[in-house]
Amino acid sequence: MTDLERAALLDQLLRYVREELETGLPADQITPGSPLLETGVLDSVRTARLLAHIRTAHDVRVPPVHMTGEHFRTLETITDLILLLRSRAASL
Amino acid sequence: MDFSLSARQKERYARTKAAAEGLPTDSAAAGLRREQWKELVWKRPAGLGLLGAAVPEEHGGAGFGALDTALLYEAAGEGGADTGLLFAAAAHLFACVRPVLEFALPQTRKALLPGLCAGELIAGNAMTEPESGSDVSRLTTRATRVDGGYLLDGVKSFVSNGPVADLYVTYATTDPEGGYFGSTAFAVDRDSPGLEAGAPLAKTALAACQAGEVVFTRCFVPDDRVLGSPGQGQLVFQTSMQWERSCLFAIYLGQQERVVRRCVQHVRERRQFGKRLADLQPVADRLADMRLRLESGRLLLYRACAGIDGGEDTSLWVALAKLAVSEAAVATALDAGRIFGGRAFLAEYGIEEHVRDALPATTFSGTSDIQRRLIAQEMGL
Repeated sequence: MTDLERAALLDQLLRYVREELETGLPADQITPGSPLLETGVLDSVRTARLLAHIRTAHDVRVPPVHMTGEHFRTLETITDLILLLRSRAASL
Repeated sequence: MDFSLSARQKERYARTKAAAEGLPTDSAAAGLRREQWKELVWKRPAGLGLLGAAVPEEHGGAGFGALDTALLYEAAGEGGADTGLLFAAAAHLFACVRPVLEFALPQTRKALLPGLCAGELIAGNAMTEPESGSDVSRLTTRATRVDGGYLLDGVKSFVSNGPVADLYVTYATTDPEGGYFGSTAFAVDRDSPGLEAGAPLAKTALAACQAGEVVFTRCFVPDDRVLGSPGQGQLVFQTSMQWERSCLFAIYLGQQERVVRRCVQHVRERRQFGKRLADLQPVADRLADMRLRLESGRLLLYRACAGIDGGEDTSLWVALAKLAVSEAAVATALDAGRIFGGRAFLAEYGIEEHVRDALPATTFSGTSDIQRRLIAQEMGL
Protein backbone atom coordinates (compact mmCIF):
# COMPACT_ATOMS: atom_id res chain seq x y z
CA MET A 1 0.00 0.00 0.00
CA THR A 2 1.56 3.24 -1.11
CA ASP A 3 0.99 6.66 0.38
CA LEU A 4 -0.55 7.59 -2.92
CA GLU A 5 -3.16 4.85 -2.67
CA ARG A 6 -3.95 5.87 0.89
CA ALA A 7 -4.39 9.49 -0.17
CA ALA A 8 -6.68 8.47 -3.02
CA LEU A 9 -8.86 6.37 -0.72
CA LEU A 10 -9.05 9.15 1.86
CA ASP A 11 -9.95 11.63 -0.84
CA GLN A 12 -12.69 9.40 -2.16
CA LEU A 13 -14.19 8.92 1.32
CA LEU A 14 -13.98 12.65 1.98
CA ARG A 15 -15.88 13.36 -1.22
CA TYR A 16 -18.52 10.76 -0.37
CA VAL A 17 -19.14 12.19 3.11
CA ARG A 18 -19.15 15.80 1.89
CA GLU A 19 -21.33 15.29 -1.17
CA GLU A 20 -23.52 12.28 -0.55
CA LEU A 21 -23.97 11.63 3.13
CA GLU A 22 -26.23 14.64 3.72
CA THR A 23 -24.59 15.65 6.97
CA GLY A 24 -26.06 19.14 6.93
CA LEU A 25 -22.56 20.56 7.43
CA PRO A 26 -20.73 22.78 4.92
CA ALA A 27 -18.04 20.84 3.02
CA ASP A 28 -15.16 22.84 4.50
CA GLN A 29 -16.12 21.71 7.99
CA ILE A 30 -15.52 18.09 7.06
CA THR A 31 -11.82 17.37 6.87
CA PRO A 32 -9.74 14.19 7.05
CA GLY A 33 -9.13 14.80 10.75
CA SER A 34 -12.43 16.33 11.89
CA PRO A 35 -14.36 14.36 14.52
CA LEU A 36 -17.31 12.44 13.05
CA LEU A 37 -18.95 11.06 16.18
CA GLU A 38 -19.38 13.98 18.56
CA THR A 39 -20.47 16.25 15.67
CA GLY A 40 -23.27 13.82 14.84
CA VAL A 41 -22.02 13.16 11.30
CA LEU A 42 -22.06 9.45 12.07
CA ASP A 43 -25.47 8.83 13.61
CA SER A 44 -27.09 5.43 13.14
CA VAL A 45 -28.58 6.14 9.72
CA ARG A 46 -25.45 7.73 8.23
CA THR A 47 -23.19 5.07 9.78
CA ALA A 48 -25.29 2.42 8.06
CA ARG A 49 -25.06 4.32 4.77
CA LEU A 50 -21.32 4.77 5.10
CA LEU A 51 -20.87 1.04 5.83
CA ALA A 52 -22.96 0.21 2.76
CA HIS A 53 -20.78 2.57 0.71
CA ILE A 54 -17.57 0.98 2.02
CA ARG A 55 -19.00 -2.42 1.15
CA THR A 56 -20.13 -1.57 -2.36
CA ALA A 57 -17.54 0.99 -3.49
CA HIS A 58 -14.52 -0.51 -1.76
CA ASP A 59 -15.54 -4.15 -1.42
CA VAL A 60 -14.75 -4.21 2.28
CA ARG A 61 -17.08 -5.59 4.93
CA VAL A 62 -16.37 -4.31 8.42
CA PRO A 63 -16.68 -7.24 10.86
CA PRO A 64 -18.38 -6.64 14.25
CA VAL A 65 -15.10 -6.71 16.15
CA HIS A 66 -13.91 -3.65 14.24
CA MET A 67 -17.16 -1.73 14.71
CA THR A 68 -15.87 0.56 17.46
CA GLY A 69 -15.70 4.30 18.00
CA GLU A 70 -11.93 4.18 17.84
CA HIS A 71 -12.02 3.11 14.16
CA PHE A 72 -14.76 5.56 13.16
CA ARG A 73 -13.48 8.68 14.92
CA THR A 74 -12.28 10.47 11.78
CA LEU A 75 -12.01 9.85 8.05
CA GLU A 76 -8.33 9.12 8.62
CA THR A 77 -9.05 6.32 11.08
CA ILE A 78 -11.73 4.93 8.73
CA THR A 79 -9.21 4.96 5.87
CA ASP A 80 -6.73 3.06 8.04
CA LEU A 81 -9.42 0.55 8.96
CA ILE A 82 -10.29 -0.12 5.31
CA LEU A 83 -6.61 -0.57 4.47
CA LEU A 84 -6.14 -2.90 7.45
CA LEU A 85 -9.14 -5.05 6.48
CA ARG A 86 -8.01 -5.12 2.83
CA SER A 87 -4.52 -6.24 3.73
CA ARG A 88 -5.97 -8.99 5.92
CA ALA A 89 -8.24 -10.19 3.14
CA ALA A 90 -5.29 -10.19 0.75
CA SER A 91 -3.14 -12.27 3.08
CA LEU A 92 -5.78 -14.99 3.45
CA MET B 1 -32.57 -21.87 -6.70
CA ASP B 2 -34.61 -24.47 -4.87
CA PHE B 3 -37.99 -23.50 -3.48
CA SER B 4 -38.91 -26.81 -1.90
CA LEU B 5 -38.42 -27.87 1.69
CA SER B 6 -36.43 -31.02 2.41
CA ALA B 7 -38.19 -34.15 3.68
CA ARG B 8 -36.71 -33.43 7.10
CA GLN B 9 -37.98 -29.84 7.13
CA LYS B 10 -41.46 -31.00 6.06
CA GLU B 11 -41.53 -33.65 8.76
CA ARG B 12 -40.43 -31.17 11.45
CA TYR B 13 -42.98 -28.63 10.22
CA ALA B 14 -45.81 -31.16 10.41
CA ARG B 15 -44.74 -32.33 13.86
CA THR B 16 -44.50 -28.79 15.25
CA LYS B 17 -47.81 -27.80 13.71
CA ALA B 18 -49.55 -30.82 15.23
CA ALA B 19 -47.99 -30.15 18.64
CA ALA B 20 -49.08 -26.50 18.49
CA GLU B 21 -52.67 -27.56 17.91
CA GLY B 22 -52.62 -28.80 21.47
CA LEU B 23 -51.69 -25.38 22.84
CA PRO B 24 -54.80 -23.51 23.82
CA THR B 25 -55.22 -19.81 23.42
CA ASP B 26 -55.23 -18.68 26.99
CA SER B 27 -56.37 -15.15 27.62
CA ALA B 28 -56.08 -15.79 31.37
CA ALA B 29 -52.30 -16.05 30.93
CA ALA B 30 -52.03 -12.26 30.93
CA GLY B 31 -53.14 -12.11 34.54
CA LEU B 32 -50.95 -14.87 35.96
CA ARG B 33 -48.26 -14.07 38.46
CA ARG B 34 -44.65 -14.61 37.56
CA GLU B 35 -43.99 -18.06 39.03
CA GLN B 36 -47.33 -19.42 37.82
CA TRP B 37 -46.80 -17.95 34.39
CA LYS B 38 -43.42 -19.59 34.12
CA GLU B 39 -44.77 -22.92 35.29
CA LEU B 40 -48.02 -22.97 33.34
CA VAL B 41 -47.36 -20.90 30.23
CA TRP B 42 -43.64 -20.64 29.43
CA LYS B 43 -43.12 -24.37 29.29
CA ARG B 44 -45.38 -24.55 26.22
CA PRO B 45 -43.04 -22.77 23.78
CA ALA B 46 -40.12 -24.47 25.55
CA GLY B 47 -41.70 -27.85 24.76
CA LEU B 48 -41.89 -26.95 21.08
CA GLY B 49 -38.19 -26.09 21.05
CA LEU B 50 -38.93 -22.46 20.21
CA LEU B 51 -36.83 -20.83 22.93
CA GLY B 52 -33.42 -22.04 21.83
CA ALA B 53 -34.10 -22.90 18.18
CA ALA B 54 -31.39 -20.62 16.77
CA VAL B 55 -28.72 -21.51 19.34
CA PRO B 56 -25.97 -24.10 18.75
CA GLU B 57 -26.46 -27.46 20.44
CA GLU B 58 -23.34 -27.01 22.56
CA HIS B 59 -25.18 -24.17 24.35
CA GLY B 60 -28.40 -26.12 24.80
CA GLY B 61 -30.22 -25.07 21.65
CA ALA B 62 -31.44 -26.88 18.55
CA GLY B 63 -28.65 -25.57 16.33
CA PHE B 64 -30.98 -24.28 13.62
CA GLY B 65 -30.19 -21.50 11.18
CA ALA B 66 -32.58 -18.65 10.44
CA LEU B 67 -34.68 -20.50 7.86
CA ASP B 68 -35.29 -23.58 10.01
CA THR B 69 -36.01 -21.36 13.00
CA ALA B 70 -38.53 -19.37 10.97
CA LEU B 71 -40.18 -22.59 9.80
CA LEU B 72 -40.56 -23.68 13.41
CA TYR B 73 -42.33 -20.44 14.35
CA GLU B 74 -44.46 -20.56 11.19
CA ALA B 75 -45.53 -24.13 11.94
CA ALA B 76 -46.44 -23.22 15.52
CA GLY B 77 -48.43 -20.24 14.23
CA GLU B 78 -50.24 -22.30 11.63
CA GLY B 79 -50.96 -25.00 14.18
CA GLY B 80 -52.83 -22.45 16.24
CA ALA B 81 -50.48 -21.59 19.10
CA ASP B 82 -51.44 -18.29 20.68
CA THR B 83 -49.88 -15.42 18.69
CA GLY B 84 -49.03 -13.48 21.85
CA LEU B 85 -47.26 -16.46 23.36
CA LEU B 86 -45.27 -17.03 20.17
CA PHE B 87 -44.38 -13.35 20.19
CA ALA B 88 -43.13 -13.70 23.78
CA ALA B 89 -40.96 -16.67 22.76
CA ALA B 90 -39.65 -14.84 19.71
CA ALA B 91 -38.80 -11.66 21.65
CA HIS B 92 -36.91 -13.86 24.11
CA LEU B 93 -34.96 -15.72 21.42
CA PHE B 94 -34.26 -13.07 18.80
CA ALA B 95 -33.89 -9.88 20.84
CA CYS B 96 -32.24 -11.39 23.93
CA VAL B 97 -30.80 -14.88 23.50
CA ARG B 98 -29.19 -14.13 20.12
CA PRO B 99 -27.32 -11.04 21.43
CA VAL B 100 -26.06 -13.09 24.40
CA LEU B 101 -24.93 -15.81 21.99
CA GLU B 102 -23.26 -13.45 19.54
CA PHE B 103 -21.81 -10.81 21.85
CA ALA B 104 -21.40 -12.07 25.45
CA LEU B 105 -18.12 -13.26 26.92
CA PRO B 106 -17.62 -17.07 26.79
CA GLN B 107 -18.22 -17.50 30.54
CA THR B 108 -21.42 -15.42 30.38
CA ARG B 109 -22.69 -17.46 27.44
CA LYS B 110 -21.98 -20.64 29.35
CA ALA B 111 -23.77 -19.36 32.44
CA LEU B 112 -26.91 -18.09 30.70
CA LEU B 113 -27.60 -19.90 27.44
CA PRO B 114 -28.57 -23.41 28.65
CA GLY B 115 -31.20 -21.97 31.03
CA LEU B 116 -32.49 -19.54 28.39
CA CYS B 117 -32.88 -22.35 25.84
CA ALA B 118 -34.51 -24.79 28.26
CA GLY B 119 -37.18 -22.38 29.51
CA GLU B 120 -35.70 -22.03 33.01
CA LEU B 121 -34.86 -18.38 32.35
CA ILE B 122 -37.12 -15.86 30.63
CA ALA B 123 -35.51 -12.89 28.90
CA GLY B 124 -37.01 -9.44 28.30
CA ASN B 125 -35.95 -6.96 25.63
CA ALA B 126 -35.50 -3.53 27.21
CA MET B 127 -34.69 -1.07 24.43
CA THR B 128 -37.72 1.20 23.97
CA GLU B 129 -38.00 4.27 26.19
CA PRO B 130 -40.93 6.62 26.73
CA GLU B 131 -39.18 9.25 24.56
CA SER B 132 -37.32 6.87 22.28
CA GLY B 133 -39.32 4.51 20.10
CA SER B 134 -38.02 4.49 16.53
CA ASP B 135 -35.10 6.81 17.29
CA VAL B 136 -32.89 4.47 19.30
CA SER B 137 -29.87 6.72 18.89
CA ARG B 138 -30.99 9.01 21.70
CA LEU B 139 -31.38 6.81 24.75
CA THR B 140 -31.89 8.69 27.98
CA THR B 141 -30.94 5.63 30.04
CA ARG B 142 -27.34 6.23 31.08
CA ALA B 143 -24.59 3.82 32.07
CA THR B 144 -21.89 5.38 34.24
CA ARG B 145 -18.52 3.72 34.51
CA VAL B 146 -17.63 2.57 38.04
CA ASP B 147 -15.10 0.14 39.43
CA GLY B 148 -15.79 -3.31 37.94
CA GLY B 149 -18.78 -2.34 35.84
CA TYR B 150 -21.49 0.24 35.21
CA LEU B 151 -24.35 1.90 37.05
CA LEU B 152 -27.56 2.08 35.00
CA ASP B 153 -30.13 4.84 35.44
CA GLY B 154 -33.27 5.22 33.37
CA VAL B 155 -36.68 3.92 32.39
CA LYS B 156 -37.47 1.35 29.70
CA SER B 157 -41.03 0.93 28.44
CA PHE B 158 -42.88 -1.78 26.51
CA VAL B 159 -40.38 -4.36 27.73
CA SER B 160 -41.67 -7.60 26.20
CA ASN B 161 -41.72 -10.28 28.93
CA GLY B 162 -40.77 -7.46 31.34
CA PRO B 163 -43.03 -8.44 34.24
CA VAL B 164 -41.97 -12.10 34.16
CA ALA B 165 -38.35 -12.00 32.94
CA ASP B 166 -35.32 -13.27 34.85
CA LEU B 167 -32.89 -11.44 32.59
CA TYR B 168 -33.04 -8.21 30.59
CA VAL B 169 -31.07 -7.29 27.52
CA THR B 170 -30.92 -3.53 27.72
CA TYR B 171 -29.17 -0.58 26.10
CA ALA B 172 -27.82 2.60 27.67
CA THR B 173 -25.85 5.65 26.62
CA THR B 174 -22.22 5.33 27.67
CA ASP B 175 -20.83 8.24 25.64
CA PRO B 176 -23.30 11.05 24.87
CA GLU B 177 -20.83 12.40 22.28
CA GLY B 178 -20.23 8.99 20.74
CA GLY B 179 -22.76 9.17 17.89
CA TYR B 180 -23.36 5.68 16.50
CA PHE B 181 -20.92 4.33 19.11
CA GLY B 182 -22.51 6.12 22.04
CA SER B 183 -24.51 3.26 23.55
CA THR B 184 -23.67 -0.09 25.10
CA ALA B 185 -25.66 -3.32 25.48
CA PHE B 186 -25.99 -5.15 28.80
CA ALA B 187 -27.49 -8.42 30.08
CA VAL B 188 -28.91 -7.59 33.51
CA ASP B 189 -30.31 -9.99 36.13
CA ARG B 190 -33.79 -9.27 37.44
CA ASP B 191 -32.62 -9.44 41.04
CA SER B 192 -29.93 -6.79 40.56
CA PRO B 193 -30.23 -4.13 43.27
CA GLY B 194 -31.73 -1.01 41.72
CA LEU B 195 -33.79 -2.84 39.11
CA GLU B 196 -37.54 -2.64 39.36
CA ALA B 197 -39.84 -4.51 36.97
CA GLY B 198 -43.28 -2.91 36.62
CA ALA B 199 -46.69 -4.56 36.46
CA PRO B 200 -48.07 -5.88 33.15
CA LEU B 201 -49.54 -3.16 30.91
CA ALA B 202 -53.18 -3.61 29.98
CA LYS B 203 -52.73 -4.28 26.24
CA THR B 204 -55.34 -4.83 23.56
CA ALA B 205 -53.15 -7.18 21.51
CA LEU B 206 -50.79 -10.11 21.98
CA ALA B 207 -52.23 -10.47 25.46
CA ALA B 208 -50.30 -13.62 26.35
CA CYS B 209 -47.03 -11.67 26.13
CA GLN B 210 -46.79 -9.61 29.27
CA ALA B 211 -45.09 -6.26 28.76
CA GLY B 212 -44.21 -3.55 31.24
CA GLU B 213 -41.76 -0.93 32.39
CA VAL B 214 -38.35 -1.62 33.82
CA VAL B 215 -36.75 1.08 35.96
CA PHE B 216 -33.01 1.20 36.68
CA THR B 217 -31.84 3.26 39.66
CA ARG B 218 -28.08 3.13 40.20
CA CYS B 219 -28.33 -0.49 39.11
CA PHE B 220 -24.89 -2.10 39.09
CA VAL B 221 -24.01 -4.31 36.12
CA PRO B 222 -20.61 -6.04 36.19
CA ASP B 223 -18.21 -5.88 33.25
CA ASP B 224 -18.81 -9.50 32.30
CA ARG B 225 -22.43 -8.58 31.49
CA VAL B 226 -21.50 -6.08 28.80
CA LEU B 227 -22.56 -7.43 25.38
CA GLY B 228 -19.97 -6.69 22.71
CA SER B 229 -17.50 -3.91 23.47
CA PRO B 230 -18.51 -0.67 25.15
CA GLY B 231 -19.99 1.53 22.41
CA GLN B 232 -21.36 -1.34 20.34
CA GLY B 233 -24.96 -1.07 21.57
CA GLN B 234 -26.35 -0.06 18.19
CA LEU B 235 -24.49 -2.86 16.49
CA VAL B 236 -25.79 -5.44 18.98
CA PHE B 237 -29.33 -4.13 18.58
CA GLN B 238 -29.22 -4.01 14.79
CA THR B 239 -27.79 -7.52 14.62
CA SER B 240 -30.62 -8.82 16.80
CA MET B 241 -33.16 -6.97 14.65
CA GLN B 242 -31.95 -8.80 11.53
CA TRP B 243 -33.13 -12.01 13.22
CA GLU B 244 -36.26 -10.58 14.76
CA ARG B 245 -37.47 -8.79 11.61
CA SER B 246 -37.19 -11.99 9.64
CA CYS B 247 -37.77 -15.02 11.88
CA LEU B 248 -40.33 -13.51 14.27
CA PHE B 249 -42.61 -12.56 11.41
CA ALA B 250 -42.87 -16.19 10.38
CA ILE B 251 -45.45 -16.33 13.20
CA TYR B 252 -47.63 -14.11 10.99
CA LEU B 253 -47.15 -16.38 7.98
CA GLY B 254 -48.55 -19.24 10.03
CA GLN B 255 -51.32 -17.05 11.35
CA GLN B 256 -52.30 -15.90 7.83
CA GLU B 257 -52.25 -19.49 6.60
CA ARG B 258 -54.71 -20.33 9.35
CA VAL B 259 -56.93 -17.31 8.60
CA VAL B 260 -56.97 -18.00 4.84
CA ARG B 261 -57.85 -21.65 5.42
CA ARG B 262 -60.76 -20.67 7.67
CA CYS B 263 -61.99 -18.15 5.10
CA VAL B 264 -61.84 -20.75 2.31
CA GLN B 265 -63.86 -23.16 4.40
CA HIS B 266 -66.39 -20.47 5.30
CA VAL B 267 -66.99 -19.26 1.73
CA ARG B 268 -67.44 -22.81 0.49
CA GLU B 269 -70.06 -23.53 3.13
CA ARG B 270 -72.06 -20.33 3.50
CA ARG B 271 -74.68 -19.52 0.89
CA GLN B 272 -76.13 -16.13 -0.04
CA PHE B 273 -78.16 -15.10 -3.13
CA GLY B 274 -78.76 -18.79 -3.78
CA LYS B 275 -75.12 -19.70 -4.20
CA ARG B 276 -71.97 -20.36 -2.23
CA LEU B 277 -70.02 -17.23 -1.20
CA ALA B 278 -67.11 -18.83 -3.06
CA ASP B 279 -69.06 -18.49 -6.32
CA LEU B 280 -69.40 -14.72 -5.90
CA GLN B 281 -66.59 -13.15 -7.89
CA PRO B 282 -65.75 -10.32 -5.42
CA VAL B 283 -65.37 -12.89 -2.65
CA ALA B 284 -63.12 -15.11 -4.77
CA ASP B 285 -61.05 -12.07 -5.77
CA ARG B 286 -60.58 -11.17 -2.14
CA LEU B 287 -59.35 -14.67 -1.32
CA ALA B 288 -56.94 -14.55 -4.27
CA ASP B 289 -55.48 -11.30 -2.95
CA MET B 290 -55.08 -12.81 0.51
CA ARG B 291 -53.13 -15.72 -0.99
CA LEU B 292 -50.97 -13.36 -3.06
CA ARG B 293 -50.03 -11.33 0.03
CA LEU B 294 -49.24 -14.43 2.04
CA GLU B 295 -47.06 -16.06 -0.63
CA SER B 296 -45.25 -12.81 -1.52
CA GLY B 297 -44.38 -12.23 2.11
CA ARG B 298 -43.34 -15.85 2.54
CA LEU B 299 -40.93 -15.73 -0.40
CA LEU B 300 -39.35 -12.52 0.93
CA LEU B 301 -39.07 -13.90 4.43
CA TYR B 302 -37.46 -17.15 3.30
CA ARG B 303 -35.11 -15.12 1.08
CA ALA B 304 -34.08 -12.98 4.06
CA CYS B 305 -33.48 -16.09 6.18
CA ALA B 306 -31.46 -17.78 3.43
CA GLY B 307 -29.35 -14.62 3.28
CA ILE B 308 -28.70 -14.69 7.02
CA ASP B 309 -27.78 -18.38 6.83
CA GLY B 310 -25.49 -17.69 3.88
CA GLY B 311 -23.69 -14.89 5.72
CA GLU B 312 -24.85 -12.27 3.23
CA ASP B 313 -25.66 -8.70 4.07
CA THR B 314 -29.42 -9.04 4.21
CA SER B 315 -30.60 -5.61 5.35
CA LEU B 316 -32.64 -5.09 2.19
CA TRP B 317 -34.34 -8.50 2.24
CA VAL B 318 -35.03 -8.32 5.97
CA ALA B 319 -36.70 -4.90 5.69
CA LEU B 320 -38.72 -6.00 2.63
CA ALA B 321 -39.84 -9.17 4.42
CA LYS B 322 -40.81 -7.41 7.64
CA LEU B 323 -42.78 -4.76 5.77
CA ALA B 324 -44.53 -7.22 3.47
CA VAL B 325 -45.47 -9.80 6.10
CA SER B 326 -46.68 -7.34 8.75
CA GLU B 327 -48.79 -5.32 6.32
CA ALA B 328 -50.15 -8.54 4.82
CA ALA B 329 -51.15 -9.79 8.27
CA VAL B 330 -53.19 -6.64 8.90
CA ALA B 331 -54.80 -6.54 5.45
CA THR B 332 -55.65 -10.24 5.55
CA ALA B 333 -57.13 -10.07 9.05
CA LEU B 334 -59.32 -7.15 7.89
CA ASP B 335 -60.31 -9.05 4.75
CA ALA B 336 -61.28 -12.00 6.92
CA GLY B 337 -63.50 -9.55 8.80
CA ARG B 338 -65.34 -8.70 5.58
CA ILE B 339 -65.67 -12.35 4.62
CA PHE B 340 -67.07 -13.36 8.00
CA GLY B 341 -69.40 -10.34 8.09
CA GLY B 342 -71.26 -9.95 11.36
CA ARG B 343 -69.58 -13.02 12.82
CA ALA B 344 -66.24 -11.22 12.71
CA PHE B 345 -67.46 -9.14 15.63
CA LEU B 346 -68.21 -12.15 17.80
CA ALA B 347 -65.25 -13.01 19.99
CA GLU B 348 -65.90 -16.75 19.63
CA TYR B 349 -64.95 -16.61 15.92
CA GLY B 350 -61.54 -15.17 16.77
CA ILE B 351 -61.42 -12.85 13.75
CA GLU B 352 -61.31 -9.67 15.83
CA GLU B 353 -58.45 -11.20 17.82
CA HIS B 354 -56.51 -11.78 14.58
CA VAL B 355 -56.99 -8.10 13.72
CA ARG B 356 -55.84 -6.99 17.16
CA ASP B 357 -52.81 -9.30 17.10
CA ALA B 358 -51.84 -8.29 13.55
CA LEU B 359 -51.95 -4.51 14.05
CA PRO B 360 -48.89 -4.18 16.34
CA ALA B 361 -46.79 -6.12 13.81
CA THR B 362 -46.62 -2.94 11.73
CA THR B 363 -45.17 -1.10 14.75
CA PHE B 364 -42.84 -3.35 16.75
CA SER B 365 -39.36 -4.28 15.50
CA GLY B 366 -39.35 -1.02 13.54
CA THR B 367 -42.50 0.54 12.06
CA SER B 368 -43.48 0.13 8.41
CA ASP B 369 -42.22 3.65 7.77
CA ILE B 370 -38.84 2.76 9.28
CA GLN B 371 -38.66 -0.35 7.06
CA ARG B 372 -39.35 1.82 3.99
CA ARG B 373 -36.57 4.14 5.11
CA LEU B 374 -34.18 1.18 5.42
CA ILE B 375 -35.20 -0.06 1.97
CA ALA B 376 -34.64 3.40 0.49
CA GLN B 377 -31.25 3.53 2.20
CA GLU B 378 -30.26 0.19 0.66
CA MET B 379 -31.31 1.56 -2.73
CA GLY B 380 -28.81 4.37 -2.29
CA LEU B 381 -31.42 7.13 -2.10
